[in-house]
Amino acid sequence: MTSSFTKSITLRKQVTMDDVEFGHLRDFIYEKCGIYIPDNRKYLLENRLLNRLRFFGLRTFGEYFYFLKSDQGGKTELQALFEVITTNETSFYRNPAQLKVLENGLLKSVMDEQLKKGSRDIHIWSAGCSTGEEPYTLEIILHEILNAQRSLWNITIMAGDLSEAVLASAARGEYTEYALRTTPKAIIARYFTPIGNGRYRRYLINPEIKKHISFHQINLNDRAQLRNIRRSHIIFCRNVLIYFDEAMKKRVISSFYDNLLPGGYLFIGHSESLHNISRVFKPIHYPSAIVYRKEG
Amino acid sequence: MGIPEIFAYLESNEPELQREGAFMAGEAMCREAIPQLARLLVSPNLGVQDAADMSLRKLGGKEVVAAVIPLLRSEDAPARNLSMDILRQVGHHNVQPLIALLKDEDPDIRIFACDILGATRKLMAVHPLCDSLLYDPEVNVRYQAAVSLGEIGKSDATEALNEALKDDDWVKFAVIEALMKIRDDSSIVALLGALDKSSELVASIIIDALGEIGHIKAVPVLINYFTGAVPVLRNKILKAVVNIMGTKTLTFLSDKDRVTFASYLLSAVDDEDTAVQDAAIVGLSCIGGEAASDKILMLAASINQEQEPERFQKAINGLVALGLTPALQNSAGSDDEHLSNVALTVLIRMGTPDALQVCTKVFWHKDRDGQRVIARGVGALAGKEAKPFFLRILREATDGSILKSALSFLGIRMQFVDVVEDIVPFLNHPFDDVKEVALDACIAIGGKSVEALFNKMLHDPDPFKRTMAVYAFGKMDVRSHLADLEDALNDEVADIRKIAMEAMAGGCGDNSDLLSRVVPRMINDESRAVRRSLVEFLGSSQCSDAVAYLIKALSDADDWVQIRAIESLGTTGRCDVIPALRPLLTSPNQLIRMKVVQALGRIGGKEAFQELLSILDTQDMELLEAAEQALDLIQADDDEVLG
Repeated sequence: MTSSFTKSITLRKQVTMDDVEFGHLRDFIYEKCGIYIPDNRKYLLENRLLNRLRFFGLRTFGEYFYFLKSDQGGKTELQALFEVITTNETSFYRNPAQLKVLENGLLKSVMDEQLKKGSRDIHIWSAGCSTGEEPYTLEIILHEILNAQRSLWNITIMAGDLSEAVLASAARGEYTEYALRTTPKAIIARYFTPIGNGRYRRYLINPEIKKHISFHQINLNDRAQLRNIRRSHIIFCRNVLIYFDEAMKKRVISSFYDNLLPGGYLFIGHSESLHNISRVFKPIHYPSAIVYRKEG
Repeated sequence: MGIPEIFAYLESNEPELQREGAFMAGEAMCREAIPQLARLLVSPNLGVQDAADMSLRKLGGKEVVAAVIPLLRSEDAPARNLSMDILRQVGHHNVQPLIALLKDEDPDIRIFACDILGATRKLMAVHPLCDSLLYDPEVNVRYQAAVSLGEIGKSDATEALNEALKDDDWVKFAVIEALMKIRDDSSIVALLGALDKSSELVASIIIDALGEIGHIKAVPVLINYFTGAVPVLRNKILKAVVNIMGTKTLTFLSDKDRVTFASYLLSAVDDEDTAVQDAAIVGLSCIGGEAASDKILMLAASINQEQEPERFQKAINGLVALGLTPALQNSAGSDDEHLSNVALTVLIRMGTPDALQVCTKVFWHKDRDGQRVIARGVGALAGKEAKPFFLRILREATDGSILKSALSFLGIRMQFVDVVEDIVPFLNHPFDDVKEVALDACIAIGGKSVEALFNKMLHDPDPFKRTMAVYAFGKMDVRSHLADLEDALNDEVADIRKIAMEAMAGGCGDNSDLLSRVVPRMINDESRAVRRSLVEFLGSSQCSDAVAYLIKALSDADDWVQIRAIESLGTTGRCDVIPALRPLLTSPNQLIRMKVVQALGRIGGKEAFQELLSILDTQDMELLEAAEQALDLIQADDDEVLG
């Protein structure tokens, strides 16, 4: 039986999460990955974790909390928890105004700077890459801009996320039409291979795009891990800060500052801002987008 | 990193090392580094400034206040602003030097001091700030003192603020804002007195303040002022009066005034100020009528629900109060998605048969999200008249969420016996969640035909069907299907055995024959999920043999089987199980240790008490707390018995 049906069906009573259990789980999640779950999202945590309780046959969320803390199952379960608490709403070519900034000059200025130094190396970090739509979009943009010259440059994209499950999905590079809803048709034709039909139609990203991207499990709350990441010319971290409280946002932005090379650029979500978070970056205003620069 | 290394980094010429040193000083709570960190706030490198800033905030304390205060006099504006911001956060650790700055010769320093003292929220700053408000020669200092008194929000400042209403308009703005925050009733008279003597701009702020403070004493004066007021002030007065009076606003007006008030409320819906719009909604919901419904519908459709959920709800509440108007009915069928969604939300909130009928009429013209809203809402509220609507959904809809609403209504809520044949095909639906609701729907309807269906499914080669049948018998009547459930314990699929075991745990724990047949066979089942359910079954059993099996389960390879066995043994109240529990007090699994402690507390008695006393020297604080609670429980029980 491959379906989850028989796993989820149970005659046990429905469990609810009390405030103490919520507090314990919230603190635990914050400590492990910096994601802060506000009170009004308690129902979401309860709904999403209920299947984990059913799966293990646990009676209360308190038991689940102990299970997470235990050596026996906690380490593997932590990944499942990360999958549950992160939502993966994304698509190719999301927030095109920001991508236009990259296409219309920003990338070229970074390349020019590198050429002045006699280098053809550029490193881009896609932080919180979810199922891979953002890093693949960036690589497609590089192909579109550079064409045949792409092979003359050593441009690497490192894509990271907290959840191993979404990274596995990203590495497969297989998408539904929904993920491509904001992607120009010509781009789909050039960089994707359709497979299957009807409801089962999927699009596979072409290997020439895939080969420039490496996927890694990265916890933005792990400063030691972040310090070991190769230093970047450009960081994309869009729609990730919304999961964090102010203190965590400050820590993450501070780590991005340390990772960026002088003159590097930081892209955050179009509805996110560094106001009251950090003054270290210089905001550069473009039509419909702001990009943050680390002064050289 | 040790303190010497931190200092070496802080004194380096390399910005990256200075930044690292600054972070380390904060992380190590190195208070000796505070003066050095304060100096780094004026570093030309923003990254260094940032690290020093973060660490100083983290360190806090009176030393940080003392080290940062001198920077308020810096000519470097960014450094000055940064030090202001740090002092706003940590100034409460030592307010005295900040209060002293209120007498500084430099008016800028006095302004900064007022600002920072406001952020400290300290009561001891109120009287010095009141003195600055009333007696400082510099208008900007008085202004900032008023702002800060509002921020502190203590009524001790009210008398000085009332007095300051005679000051310049510039100061008056801040004073009124402060009074609004403090909300002391004693300010009403002072504010009303200032109304006639003020410019239109100041009057507008006073009106807002009176509305916020919300004292009924202000209403007659505001109504009098209303007649001669310019449109902008009129809308402000409408807002203030509605805020003070709420939905009773119009009951005290004469008929003539009510008509006038209503027309002003309709035009106030178009005001740029969203607070005025909200007040107009409340007012109009009392008046009623087509025009009011139409206006509020348009307004609600323009509100972004996710960004302004409270405003959206206010508009919905207003529309619900207005009832089923033609405007609402027309909007439900509108092609304007926003307008239609608003109307559907209102109709479902109303929940009356007439309102729900409007929803079902427009259902097939809506997109997927609209259909989901209707199906969920109607399914939860409608009566039997909605049966044809939901049967059509079963025939024609494909969306899982919509289908679940229909299955839930027809089977679980209404339990229509004659729809079983319509529901049964959904037991094979490709979506698991649809299958589950269809299954629960069949079970809820019950009856002989449903039972016959599950009897057939029980022997089906398809394990899904067998699973459903076992689940259904567990839900319907365990005792009359005991033989079937016992057979299911031999199923090759572990999940089926587990559900059969769960079913037995739910209804036949007192059957000692069953226990003796089932347990020896299942206690070594290869599936831990099955063994867990078995232990729950044992826990529900009243049979004396169950305890022996539970003790055996304490050695199970699966921690959760052990845990369930410990819990069950705890509820027996039998002291003779303590020797079996004792070894688990040293289990590597903390939860197992905790469960043993809790079980000992429940068992009670001298032996359990002694056992708990023996672990009070544990270093595990959570276990210690659990042991103390268990001891308290035993003592409380003893007290109860004794006296």
